[in-house]
Amino acid sequence: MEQSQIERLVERWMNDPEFRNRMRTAPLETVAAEGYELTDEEQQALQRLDLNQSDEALVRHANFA
Amino acid sequence: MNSEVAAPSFPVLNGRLPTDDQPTMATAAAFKDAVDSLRRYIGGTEFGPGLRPLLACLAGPLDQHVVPERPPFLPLILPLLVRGGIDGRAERALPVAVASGLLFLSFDLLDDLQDGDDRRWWRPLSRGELLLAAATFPATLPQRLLLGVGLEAEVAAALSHALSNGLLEIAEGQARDLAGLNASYADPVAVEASVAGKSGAQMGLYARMAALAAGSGEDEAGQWASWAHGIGTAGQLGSDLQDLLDPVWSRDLAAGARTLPIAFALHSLDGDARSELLVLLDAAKVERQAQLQAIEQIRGCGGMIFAAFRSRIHLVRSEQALERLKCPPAWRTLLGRLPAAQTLHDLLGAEAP
Repeated sequence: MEQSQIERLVERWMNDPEFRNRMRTAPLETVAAEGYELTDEEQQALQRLDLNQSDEALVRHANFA
Repeated sequence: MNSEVAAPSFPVLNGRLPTDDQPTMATAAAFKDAVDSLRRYIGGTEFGPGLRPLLACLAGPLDQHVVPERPPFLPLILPLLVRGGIDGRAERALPVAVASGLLFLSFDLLDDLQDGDDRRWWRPLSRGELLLAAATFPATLPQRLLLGVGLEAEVAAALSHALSNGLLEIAEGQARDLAGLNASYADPVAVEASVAGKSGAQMGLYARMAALAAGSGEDEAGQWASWAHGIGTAGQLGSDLQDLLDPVWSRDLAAGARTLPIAFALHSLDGDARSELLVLLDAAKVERQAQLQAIEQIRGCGGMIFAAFRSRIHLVRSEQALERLKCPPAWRTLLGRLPAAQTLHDLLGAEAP
């Protein structure tokens, strides 16, 4: 997916509560239904993000350096 | 300066020879020996009286990194795991692990100097002496060490080549990083490339050297480098996020760094919101309250979630590289455990030294 699409996706995530709820339940299906085209690695990365977590928890799981 | 510095000797695990079905034990034993060897090297008894105290300033950060409660110290653990994945003989990567540890600690010193930090373990060295150490050590110690352990000429040449290229790639990433300090705009793509060039390339180099020293060809060594590159990049992105969530003080904000979440915010915001963030970022160099407000803005425009997502992308790339590598199943399991290991204990369990 192009960088600009990812930026739009993040913006939508931040500003659209209904979209956020759908993403938390079914991220890949929601992204596809909204017309975002994710690459294979982006789909895998999205699946590894637990979108129900707080920023702190997301960071804890991203931080191992 | 003493120009005749002897190569260090490396113990052979004191009889604790590993087998293919004991990767965790073998890695733990080799890790302990790598730490001991690195400490002895930094102790610098072979070095002249001028260099000895300079080398000693690398010991402080080493002590901080190699405790079971901390994340696995990648410069030491990566070469051991790569060698284990190739032939089950993690202990044979000891010289590469020590060379990688020296490189990392030297870069760490350089990084701290560039950030304007003041570390207690530097005292009583002057800034001039620290600069001499940061300029000299990465360009000399790993090469000297690796070329002093009796490698075949072809392997030594490949390692020397990998080191030169790797050092330049890391310097490129570091240079981009420095150029972005205090910038009013930062392109997230360029910032991520800088992280990959700096941290990813560094970890990739350690893995590549271990593979080359094991006799791997360029293609296989490149795959191992890709595996470690992804881990290093993801780890640094995670560490940059962690800095913003530090409950006391963000060192990155204080240094004027433009890490990925900050760059994303600067890129996404416009007009008054962006101007406001720039004012906050400037004040955040010295004021905690401004840091907290800046972090709220960064969080509010999705900078955190974006950086966390990008971090996962690099982990996926690392996993894909590992899938392509030939590797005994027991070692593959241990290798696959590394990215999720929050501590050395998570990785090596009760075997963690």
